[in-house]
Formats: sequence, structure tokens, C-alpha cells
Amino acid sequence: MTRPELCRPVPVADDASAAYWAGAREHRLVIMRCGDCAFYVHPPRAVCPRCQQETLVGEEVSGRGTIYSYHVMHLPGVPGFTPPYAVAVVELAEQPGLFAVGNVLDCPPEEMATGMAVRVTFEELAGSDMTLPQWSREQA
Amino acid sequence: MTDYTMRDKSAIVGVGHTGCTKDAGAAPEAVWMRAVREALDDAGLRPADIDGISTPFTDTWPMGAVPTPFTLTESLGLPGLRWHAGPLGGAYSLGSVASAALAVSTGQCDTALAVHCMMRPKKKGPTAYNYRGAQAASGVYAHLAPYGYSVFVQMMATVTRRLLDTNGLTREQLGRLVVDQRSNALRNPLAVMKDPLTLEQYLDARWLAEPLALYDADMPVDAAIAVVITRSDRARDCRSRPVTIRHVSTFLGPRPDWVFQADYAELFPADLGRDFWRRAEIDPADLSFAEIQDGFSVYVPLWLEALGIVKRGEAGGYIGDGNLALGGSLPTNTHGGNLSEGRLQGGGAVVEAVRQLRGQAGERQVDGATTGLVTVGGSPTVCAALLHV
Ligand SMILES: [Zn+2]
Repeated sequence: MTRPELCRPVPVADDASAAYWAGAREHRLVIMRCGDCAFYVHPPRAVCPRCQQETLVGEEVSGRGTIYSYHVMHLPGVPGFTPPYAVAVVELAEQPGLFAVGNVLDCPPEEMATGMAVRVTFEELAGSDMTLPQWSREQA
Repeated sequence: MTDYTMRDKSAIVGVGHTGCTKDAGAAPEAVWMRAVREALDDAGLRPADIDGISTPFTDTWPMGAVPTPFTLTESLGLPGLRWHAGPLGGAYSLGSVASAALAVSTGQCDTALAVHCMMRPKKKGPTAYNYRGAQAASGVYAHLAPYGYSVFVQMMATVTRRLLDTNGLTREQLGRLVVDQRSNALRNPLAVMKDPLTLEQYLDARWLAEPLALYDADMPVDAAIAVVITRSDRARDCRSRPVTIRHVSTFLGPRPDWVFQADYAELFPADLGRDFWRRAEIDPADLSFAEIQDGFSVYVPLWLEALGIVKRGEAGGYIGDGNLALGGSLPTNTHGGNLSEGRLQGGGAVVEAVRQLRGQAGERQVDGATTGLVTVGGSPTVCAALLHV
């Protein structure tokens, strides 16, 4: 029997993030961008925090980024994950301080490094219709 | 000089602290009322003298291990209260003291009680401590939990990694901080940790979330503190030496999640730091000591830089040189901090600051202490207070 509290969390799309998750299903990294001031915003939200307009629309981005920081989780108890595993904060190429979180799927935890170049990839989340933006090492 | 209304208008006249243990062996109400009785006795006051109460949580329904103005009013047998509130800036223990100081300073009440209690979870659940993601991850957690990122220690580990790689911090410097605080705790009978710790033990400890290991995280305990705050013009009539509250500042960071904020080296509020000293009209160089709530070791360098005690990128070297040890230039977390006294979310820091300023800190007394800093929390919700005698 599967204990639901031990399953990997499935993201829930909402009005603000619908375009982001729809893009992921098509294997496109879609980030919300302000139609007025061109500011990128992630995680998705309803109103631009720079100009306060309701003009955020999803826009496909390059999918390139660098690892801003990361950690290697060693504690058990996070549903669906077996430690040790690494989680990265990726700074997207489009804008300083524009961060996305993910796992670098082809990088063992001990090879993770701040500043490492990564490129978006996609992972179908088993048992759901959701696709996760994920990361792989940029080939030199 | 600007006339800030609260300046020196309130004072701490009573403190109580149960001491930190792994199991208090008593109901939560019994634990926090031990601290309350001690604080009232310290001040030479009776329950009927209390006309205001502040606590970190203010829900009206019973919350188990959490004292609220409602449960405390009942416990004290009071017919009602003139004033009650939650913590200023959302900052748990110190925030409750700060709320009370504002209320007393502005005539909302005359004598207020601030209480905080922590009890360890007695049952092990299926998920990690402080697990924040539901199995259906929504809002910001939709962008964290599916990647296995949903426990608070992971956020602090990611911040620490950035500081280690780009802001001049080393694990050895964090270790120096932790080891120094442990030796302070050995001089504090209220502390849960009773054994010495070496730098080698610190560096060899098992990882929680790398680069944070076992001794970088605070120690869960059963404990409570209580603080009595009254008008400065009444404080001299109380039993113990009053400690004057010069100023409290709070700050709300730009994001609630510790993940998507653009610059991790400024995750703690540098804006608060710039403002705090001006309003307190005290220079950081005049501090006798600092009690900086250390939910994780990395809070301390973040606070030192945010408050401008050192420049950005210099906290690690400052710590590594031993400045924070007893006898150093700024003795810090003289009671052992949350790391070695116990997880009171800064409650122990408040009590320690009062005892240092009264000269009651025993073997860990900072000679001639007149001015102390207490900080609690981290971005997004923080509070800093300047106390003096
Ligand atoms: Zn805009």
C-alpha cells in the first residue's frame, strides 16, 4: 500500500502559474514576463512587483543558467526522495537574481558546484500529468 | 536629537527561565507558568499587577504547547486585560518583549508580561522536522517540494553554501563560533548541552543538509521564558535592578521563502542595520555584548554583516579571529545560544542579556557590561533591541 504522505509532491497549477506548467508539458521553459516593464518574475504571480500592472504573460526563455547555490540533503523524511540528493538554485541567463529551483539530473551530488553552467531539461512526474522543468550540465 | 517616543520609557524588571531540558516531564502550561512565577518573583510583583500580555501566537483556541494571552489570563486568574498582542515583527520571543515595550511606552498598559514556550514534538511523524510541503505542493511550494526541497534546514544550507563559495566564509570559522558558544553553555546551568565540543568534532559531524552539519542546527528542548516589562518611572520600585529598553526595530524582508530573494549575502536586512543604530543613538563599538538568535550557525555572520558590525564579506574572518568568544571584542551568545543552550527562538537570548546587564551571569559574566544587543529571527521577520543599564 502506498502511504500518500510518503509520495513525491505533485505541483498544483494555479491561475498565475498555468502558463508555466503548460509550457513545461510542451518541454518549453516559460517564465512570466511583464508586458509593460519587461521584468521577468519567478515563481509566477498575478501582478508585476516592479510596476504593479496585471500584464505578466508567459514567455519562453533560453533555458540556460548557472548554479547560484545548492545543498546536498542528507536527512530522510522528505517524501519521495532518498538521501543524499542535491537541490540547486539556478540563476537564469535572462536576468540577474531570477532563480528557479531544480535537480541537476546528470550530476552526482559530489560534483555539484556554484557557478556551474546548466541547461533546462524536463522530467515527466510519474503518476500525474505534470512535467517538471529540471536541469542538466551544459556540455562544454 | 529626534524624540523617539519609546526611547528609554520602558524597562525589563523581571525575567524567568525554566532551563532547557530534553523532557520537562510536565504539561506545557506547567512549564511556562514556572517561568512566569519566577519572572513575577524577580520583579516583586503579583499577577494582579499585570495589565498586558504578549506572546508569539495569539489564536483564541487552545494551541497545546503554546501560551497565548488568553491561556495566560486564565492561568494568572485575571478578570481580563487592558492590552494584548502578538510579537512585533513576527519575531517570536524578542518580538513579544518589543510589543510589550511599545505598549508600555505609549500608555496602552503599565506592566506587561511576555512569554515564550517551546516543547519538543513527543511523537515522531512520517516526515522530517519542519517539513513544509504538502503532498500537493501549491503556491511557492509548487516550485520547491517536487524537487525534494521543503525542510527549513535546506534553505539555510543553500544560503550557507552561497556564503562559503562567494562571501569569504569557511566551515572552520562557523566551527569556531559553534565551539565558542558551547564553551559558554558549559558556564550556563540553564543550558541543555553539558559536554565540551572540539573543532574536530564539529567538522566530523554528520551532515544534515550539506554544508550544514549536526552542530550547525539548534537543539530542540522543553523550556519557557517570561519577561516583565514596566514603565521606567515605576521600574525602580521593583525588586531587581531594571534593564532599560532603549529601542526596538523590526524589519520585513521582501520574500517569505528564503529561496527566491536575489542576493543571499543580504538575506538579512541591511536596511534594518543602517536604521537601528541611528534610532538607538548607539554606535556598534559601544556594545558590551551581543545575543544573536542562532537557529542555525549561519545566522550569526548574516546578522553581523546586516547590522554593519562588520563589512560585507568580513564576518567569517571576524568570527575566526575569536572576537565573539568570552574575552573577545564582542562576546556573543554568552549563554550558548540556541545551538548549545537550547531552541528557545531567542528567548534565552533575552533573559541572558538582562542577566549580563545586571551582573548576574556568573562564570560567563562580561566585565562591566552596560549595553547589550539582542536580535531574533531572520529575513523575512526580524526584531532587534538595544538594552542598557
Ligand atoms: Zn512590470
